[in-house]
Amino acid sequence: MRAGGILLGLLSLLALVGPELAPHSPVAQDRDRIYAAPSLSGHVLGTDGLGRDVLSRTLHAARFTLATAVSGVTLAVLLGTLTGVVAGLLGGMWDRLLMRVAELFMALPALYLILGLRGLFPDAIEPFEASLIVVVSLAAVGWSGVARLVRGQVLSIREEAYIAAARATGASRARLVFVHVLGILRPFLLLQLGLQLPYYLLGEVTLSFLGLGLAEPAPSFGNMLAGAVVNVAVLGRRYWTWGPPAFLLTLAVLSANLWIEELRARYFGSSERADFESWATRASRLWSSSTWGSKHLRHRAS
Amino acid sequence: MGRVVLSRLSSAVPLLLLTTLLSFLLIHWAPGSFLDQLRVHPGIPESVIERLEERYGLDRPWHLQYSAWLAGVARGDFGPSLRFQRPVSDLLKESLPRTLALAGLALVFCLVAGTALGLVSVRSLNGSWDRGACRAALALASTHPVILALLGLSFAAATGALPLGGGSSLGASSLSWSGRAADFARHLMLPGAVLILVLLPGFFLHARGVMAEVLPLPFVAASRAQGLSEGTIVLRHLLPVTLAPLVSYASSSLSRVLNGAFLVEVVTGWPGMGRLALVALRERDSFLLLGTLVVAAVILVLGNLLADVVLAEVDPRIRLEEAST
Repeated sequence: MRAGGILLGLLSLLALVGPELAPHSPVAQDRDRIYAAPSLSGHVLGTDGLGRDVLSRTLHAARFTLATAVSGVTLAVLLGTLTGVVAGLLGGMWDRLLMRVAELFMALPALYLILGLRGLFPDAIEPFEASLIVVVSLAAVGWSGVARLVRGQVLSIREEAYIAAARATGASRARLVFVHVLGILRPFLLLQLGLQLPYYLLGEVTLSFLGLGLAEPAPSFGNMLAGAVVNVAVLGRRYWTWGPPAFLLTLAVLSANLWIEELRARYFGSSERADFESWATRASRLWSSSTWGSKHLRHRAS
Repeated sequence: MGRVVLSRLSSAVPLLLLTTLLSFLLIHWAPGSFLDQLRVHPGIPESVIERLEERYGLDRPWHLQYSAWLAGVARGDFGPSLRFQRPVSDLLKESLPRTLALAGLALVFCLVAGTALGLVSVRSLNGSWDRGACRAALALASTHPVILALLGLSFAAATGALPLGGGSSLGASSLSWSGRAADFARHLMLPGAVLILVLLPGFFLHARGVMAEVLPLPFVAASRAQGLSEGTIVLRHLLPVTLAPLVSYASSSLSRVLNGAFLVEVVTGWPGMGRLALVALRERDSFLLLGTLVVAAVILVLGNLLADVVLAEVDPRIRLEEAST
């Protein structure tokens, strides 16, 4: 079963090329057709309260959500890896300091922390600035968990015999870090990227929904959903204004979650435990103890 | 138990202090303040704004502001809300119980219902019920809380069975004590149900996973061989073993619970702390935003502390480890 991966690939493709296929401009207002119902002749998925084409807005929003979620998770994993490797390798005071900071970020509830962080930036209007802010906010919340996982990995790797062997043969510090530590960690880090993607997809929508991300008139899933909250009458009778983004988002997150399951089945064998939420922590534990990990380590050592 | 509380508190207090400092600095450095918004207003002379600045101590250096604010918090005074022209502590006193009621009830319900559903699932592992439940949980967990709340809201609007938004009806203050409680419960129904839908899949899947690991262990087979009834095995032997991982899952999902409650409050109009925080951010109401941030952090820390105490109670190994250090 590889349905999740295939579906995720197709949706990513749609997000990439979708805006080029959009029949209308996402911001053009058709004042004569406000809240027009879906019809095959005019607007395929109808129009919203300002007469904007819902299909075109959804396609543009998909690209924005995918781009920010992928950049956000990448930045978070990069930051987390940097901190984790530095803390794990230097140890002592640096380790304690960095881990305290990570705990501090984990002690704050994510959304409240983002509210605090968002205040640091001006109320951006440019879509590019807005997406940068979303990426930074998401990464600011997400890096601490990755940092702790990576630090744990580094602490166990540095005790491995092959590290001592590399040292004994006179490997430089940079070689130790980049080849022997990061090289070994690479599959683990790639896995982390995949594992956390669903949360970043959801997180981006949360930010835009709360008005902290991409602002009107630019389209995003979040502000399309927010448009439905303003008026309860819009909810039921004008379902097409928020239905398409809601459907596409749910499908994307679902396929990402299915893809994770498939990845897990492939790398760790089928396990009865289906809780994907604490999966990241368990994966790391499994990874360090599994034959896959140690085989990899032995291979590197020889 | 006292030892557990003490050791956890000793690390929680500095963490909380650091949290307040970080939050304070974030808000302090943020460009644009509530008073800046007034400055733009042509009808307000500069002298009025200067007087306001002096009254709230906003003209002093940040470390003095912070220490004054911290000293106030120690006395239960969180400073003034510039937007609402009321003490922040009053606003928090109104909204915090509502958020705690929403989040607490949903959390307890999900812990119990998730465990029960997990048990049902695990009794016929990979059976049709189990597969269906896992798929439903995956689908539910993939749906954004906002979408769930919108669906709940349109359901309530279509049937007219539940009030749309608000924490109480208009004439609620004239009702009797029991009438007010019933009114409160009616308003809590919609946000509560949505939050439960948001959280339940995680709890169910976790409980299922934990039990699926415990069930094949020899002691279960041994209990069966002794002729114990299935009910006794579950209640006396299975649940005690699974309780510790379930409690630690609940404590690790506290942040998720608060985030979920935040979104549900915003969409369904439950007047809790999340809504307050959002208003505070939009209006640049620094003391109010700071207050909600700190209270949310305190909830997390206290919740984790409570979970540690419960863990030490239900798991003797943790108790022993704690005693030996």
